[in-house]
Amino acid sequence: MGKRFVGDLTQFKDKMAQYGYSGLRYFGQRVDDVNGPGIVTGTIGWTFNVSLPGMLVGKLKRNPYGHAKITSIDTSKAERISGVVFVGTAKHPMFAGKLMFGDEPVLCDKEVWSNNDPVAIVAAETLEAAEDALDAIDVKYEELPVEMDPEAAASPSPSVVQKSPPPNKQGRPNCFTYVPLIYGDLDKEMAASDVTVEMNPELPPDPHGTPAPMSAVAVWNGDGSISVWDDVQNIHAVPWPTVAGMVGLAQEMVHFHGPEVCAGGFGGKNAGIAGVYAAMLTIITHRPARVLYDRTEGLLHVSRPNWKWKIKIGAKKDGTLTAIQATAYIGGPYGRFLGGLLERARNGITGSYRWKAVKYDGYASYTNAQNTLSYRGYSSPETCYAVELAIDELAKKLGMDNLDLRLKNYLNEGERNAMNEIFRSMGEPGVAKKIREFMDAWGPKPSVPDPWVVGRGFSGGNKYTQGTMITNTAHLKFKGNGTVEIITDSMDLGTGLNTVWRQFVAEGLNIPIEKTVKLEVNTDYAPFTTCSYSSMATFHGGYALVNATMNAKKLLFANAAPILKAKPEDLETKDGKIMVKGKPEGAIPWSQAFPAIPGQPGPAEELMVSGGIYAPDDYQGPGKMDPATSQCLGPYFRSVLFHSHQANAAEVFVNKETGEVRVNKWAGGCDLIPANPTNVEGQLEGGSLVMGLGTTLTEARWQDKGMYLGKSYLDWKIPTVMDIPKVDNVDTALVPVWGEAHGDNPRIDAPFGAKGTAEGVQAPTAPCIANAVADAIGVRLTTIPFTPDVILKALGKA
Amino acid sequence: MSEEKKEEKKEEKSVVSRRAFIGGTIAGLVVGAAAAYGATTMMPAGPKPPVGAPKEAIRGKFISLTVNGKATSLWVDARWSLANTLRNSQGLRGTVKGCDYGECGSCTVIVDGRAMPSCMVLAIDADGRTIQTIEGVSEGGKLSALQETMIKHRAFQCGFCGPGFIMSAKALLDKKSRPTEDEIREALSGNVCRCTGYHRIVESLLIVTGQKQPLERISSGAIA
Repeated sequence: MGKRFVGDLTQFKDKMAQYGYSGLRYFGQRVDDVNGPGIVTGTIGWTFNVSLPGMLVGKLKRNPYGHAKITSIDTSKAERISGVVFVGTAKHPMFAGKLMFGDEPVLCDKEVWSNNDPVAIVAAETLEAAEDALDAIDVKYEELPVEMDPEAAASPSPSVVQKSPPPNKQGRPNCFTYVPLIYGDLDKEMAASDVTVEMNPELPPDPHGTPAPMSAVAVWNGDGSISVWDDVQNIHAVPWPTVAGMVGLAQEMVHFHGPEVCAGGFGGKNAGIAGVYAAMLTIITHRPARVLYDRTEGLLHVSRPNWKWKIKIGAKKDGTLTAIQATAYIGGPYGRFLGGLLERARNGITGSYRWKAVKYDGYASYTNAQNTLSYRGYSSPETCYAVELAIDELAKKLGMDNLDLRLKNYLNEGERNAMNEIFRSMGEPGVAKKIREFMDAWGPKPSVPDPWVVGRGFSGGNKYTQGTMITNTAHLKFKGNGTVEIITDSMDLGTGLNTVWRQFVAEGLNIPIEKTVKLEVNTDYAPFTTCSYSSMATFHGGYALVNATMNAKKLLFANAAPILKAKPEDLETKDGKIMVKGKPEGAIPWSQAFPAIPGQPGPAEELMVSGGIYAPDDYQGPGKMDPATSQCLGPYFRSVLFHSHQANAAEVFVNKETGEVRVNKWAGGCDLIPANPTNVEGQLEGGSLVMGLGTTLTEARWQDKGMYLGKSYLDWKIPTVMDIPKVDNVDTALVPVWGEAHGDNPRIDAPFGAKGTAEGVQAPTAPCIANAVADAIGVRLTTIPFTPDVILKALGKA
Repeated sequence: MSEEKKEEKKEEKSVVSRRAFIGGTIAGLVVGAAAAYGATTMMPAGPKPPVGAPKEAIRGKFISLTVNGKATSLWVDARWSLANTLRNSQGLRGTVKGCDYGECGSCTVIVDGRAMPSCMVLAIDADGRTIQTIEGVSEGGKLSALQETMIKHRAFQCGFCGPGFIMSAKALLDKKSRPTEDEIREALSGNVCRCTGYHRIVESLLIVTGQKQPLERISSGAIA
């Protein structure tokens, strides 16, 4: 096996000890995944396996065109099919509403803007009857011209105006969100640069492609409430309010259950749309209903939007960076989270480097591309792709080592960046150096037989999680028998959160991890939690849990102090007992320190304690952002909640005759105190290397007039085990970052130093592989994926 | 463009669905099957059978299966895949389904010693076969060494592809006790995973076959 480097955590352990934590009893350890036994036996609580007696099969009739007018919908034949219980269109008041951004019909009735848009819904006794009914629904369309290019769509005079009335942001009829950033004097700094690099990198749509398609089950209860099981990443932030709002019920009347493990999310299961349809069907039919997308729907219903960049960077002869100008165009049929993506891209353009001037313009416009949603990295990989390609070219122009160029220009811990934010938790130089060390250890490039050529590439990366809507709360329920129940709605997407929550609590309370239990994710008792998305869960959920343990100890110590005849600050807790520090002989069990119920003798049976993280003041500091320039106003205010950094190196083999690209060796790392090193390595190996490899090399999206051809894993190709480097050729590095900015409080900047990692790991991958391919063939390619035809074309052979 | 041509164009784009494929298969089967088993009921409304096919068709039949060592006889609809039959009729929900086209491998089971995607096997074609599912790998509640290693080595993340991978891996290990890395990759190449990057799945097989050392699990102090 390749190298698995986990940095020395001695300093972390010492710091933790100062605050009364044992440090590293569970936290930072390779604790076994609690989901493991359920997964290897196929018994874990995926929504896919939720089944209720008498459950109806819900299916959606979808539009085959890119953009079309609906002239008629005839459902009469479908309604007569045996086993069909309900057929609905937008004429039914239940389906007449708009989803998400408010521009997306639940069912389209006059116009469809994207391939796969739903136009009718069916509920039937069996899958066969439901599919027969879909075939029998007769929809007549009149094709309309399509616009797939987000840049052309953003033109002040576009060839297709999609919506009426047009949103018309910045005088551009199709543009619905514009995000700027202005810092310094761009023209002056660009003119004063000795070297400049200009590029137009592009990243086409790429579906999330989870093997488990979206699924939801809903059941109408006798009291008028409904229960919903939905395979979603988060509940409180989007799916729960969306489902309740769309069916016209108070949120309390919707009992929303998350999966034990969300069966792969990557941003694509943030919206809970399947749950909306399931809820509507059960309210209409009063029978349990399931909506399960098929493979084609799974690949067409959400994707990363098409990103088109125009980027120009400048530098002095000595390698000092001067200015960056970047314009981003993204598009999709509906607003969804595109505006949020542009904001995060702004943070990424500001990036890890010290610029004298920055100008960024982000335009999100209506196109007829496939529907979008947040995608792993929340625009960090797309932004890093543009910046890191340009940096690589700049290094070549300057004749500088590309790592030296980066190291010269990285921001320092505590420095203010181009958005006037204090830059914290800066581990990028350490990670970059470590990854270069791995690359150097690979030795000289191997010689390969003709027509193969070898190339090596390097890239830094960052993911700056923005702080909108980050309120998180967690409850801990202490039982008399020494067990602690963890109640949080942060979903485990397979990243290992169900285990990590227990590690946080076991470490925070110094109890055996077996004494912690994580309860089902359920809105009936779980507090408001926004996660899991944007790599926030470990950070925010962990913060809330660590706070809850601190609050609990404060309360327990105050109650125990009179019993132990000591001051609260002289007490400590271990294994469910409270004692005077260093005197375990006089220890009392927790339960004796539970507060009494008023009017009752003795302590209560249970104790419930909460903790939270509350943005913005508790974390971001008072202030706001200037909307015209995106400059943070206020001494401590920042839009980014935590900065995370990554680096990748890759060695690729390119076949000059067939255009095939193989990644032979790879190294990836990130900066953090790993809550569970095994989990983080898993993110690097799977998320950074292989998902990044797929989007860079194989996941081509073909369409003709907005009609997508990649409707299955056969013609939209994600990597298989045959496409990955051998196990001995993959190195990972977890580089601790525990900077000065962490201050005196182990909570600040990250709970126990842990920060989000699941998405950022993908940020450096595409640029790293692209840089390696450029090194191998001597031609700079800027539009991914580099499928064989693209390589051959670049070599003048096709 | 005329309405007709538009319709043609739409047809070209559409993927042949498994149901349409099965519809054709059933019509084909009907010629032999209807005679052999006797036509009982009418086909429900659906795609038209090809010209020349008899109007009456069987709707299903009784088949015998040996599932996880237990002989069983059950009635199956002619359109049911083995995957749907195991899940819905036999209650074996560990066999999950990701695509229904044989592309993802999530529904892999072992049929007469061979790993195959059960969504691509018609239940009526599985008559008389011996089938092992994920439920048969840990019989009596005791996990196999492969499963234990996969937990310890964190082979899976969301795990949806897990049961399928384990069945493909088991079919390999049943035949070969120390497969090479290349043989492991070959055996797992029909299974798709989006989370793990396959890395730890391959490593788990190398560890359980004694070709690699498990990662050290340090209980206290700095981790290396």
